[in-house]
Amino acid sequence: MSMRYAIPEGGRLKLLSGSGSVHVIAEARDDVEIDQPRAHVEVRDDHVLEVRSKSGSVTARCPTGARVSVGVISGSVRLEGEFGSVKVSAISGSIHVDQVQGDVDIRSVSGSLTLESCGGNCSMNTKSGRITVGEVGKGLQAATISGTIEGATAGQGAVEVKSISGSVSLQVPEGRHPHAKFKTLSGRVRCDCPAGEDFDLKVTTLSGSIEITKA
Amino acid sequence: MTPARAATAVRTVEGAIAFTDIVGFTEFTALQGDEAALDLLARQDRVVQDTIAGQGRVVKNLGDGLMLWFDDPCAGIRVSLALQERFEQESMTEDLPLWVRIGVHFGRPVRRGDDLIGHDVNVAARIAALAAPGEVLVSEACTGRVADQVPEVHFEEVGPTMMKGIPEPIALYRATILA
Repeated sequence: MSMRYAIPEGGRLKLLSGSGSVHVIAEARDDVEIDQPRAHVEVRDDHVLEVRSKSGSVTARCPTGARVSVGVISGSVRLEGEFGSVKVSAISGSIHVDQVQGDVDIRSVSGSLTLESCGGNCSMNTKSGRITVGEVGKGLQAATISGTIEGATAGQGAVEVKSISGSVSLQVPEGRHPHAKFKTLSGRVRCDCPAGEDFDLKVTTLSGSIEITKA
Repeated sequence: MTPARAATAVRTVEGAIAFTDIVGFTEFTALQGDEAALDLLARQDRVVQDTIAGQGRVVKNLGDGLMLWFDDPCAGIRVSLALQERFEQESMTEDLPLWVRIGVHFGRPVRRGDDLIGHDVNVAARIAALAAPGEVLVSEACTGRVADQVPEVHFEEVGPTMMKGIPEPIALYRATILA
């Protein structure tokens, strides 16, 4: 059984889950539909529609362009569709986010992170998972210890990527020339892009290889 | 009072607890060996001792991290940010990066001798685990205490956080120095 709620004007959808997967679908609609009968739902004074679930999977449907934040202890998080801005934290569990018009902050202690595209600034951090970024419109900050990092930047904002042992592979658009700084202790470095001053690109690894190619 | 408690002075204190954690220390040790790992720890210790002087204290060493205490939460935030700046400088001048996560929380732990224990200590440790390399994450309990007493610091909410064993979500903020 699902329940429907009005989302406050200019408001934000906030989902909190103890254990269980969280699936949020942004689609053409005006309200929010929650498919988890045991969830506690509250409209707060600060224009936040807050959904709390101790256990079990939660599926929420919200308007396209909604601002969404999610916090889970254990369980995967999937945000499908186009969102305004996204903030997700998980202690353990993978996070997948489709499209975001604005800024993104996603972090997991252990779990892989995937973002299809982001129009604003993007921050992605995990201890042990892989990080995959389709394209970032502005700045990108990404860090992992052992996972690989793959992504593409529009070359419009500073890019800073850190990995201990995972490899880093980034694509830069043709015609954008990074002011690049690469630092690695034992990894191989390959950069196909001509140096320039269009944007800062800083990649540091201990043993992971670094590969920068033209998109 | 039990004999054990009587033997060690126990009292509740109020202030900021911070945890530092060297990112990827296990992998670093495996790749570079024990000597390099010891050097890295020594660099962290030196930076912390220099920066914290007179403003707080190192409660204990946790292997690849430290537990810090500040009577004044403003000092806790300022020192944490200063530490990240120093770690960044160290990483630029040395071959080996010194990437550190820092989590700061305000609370009322129990002081037992020189040690601190309690729920708020556990919360602070878990906040640090969620921080990115080079980042200072601060709990709402701490930002609420400092209010406008640290005008040079910008707090940006990073979203709700659920933590194992802690029933209520904790709002976390990324602290940065205003340009």
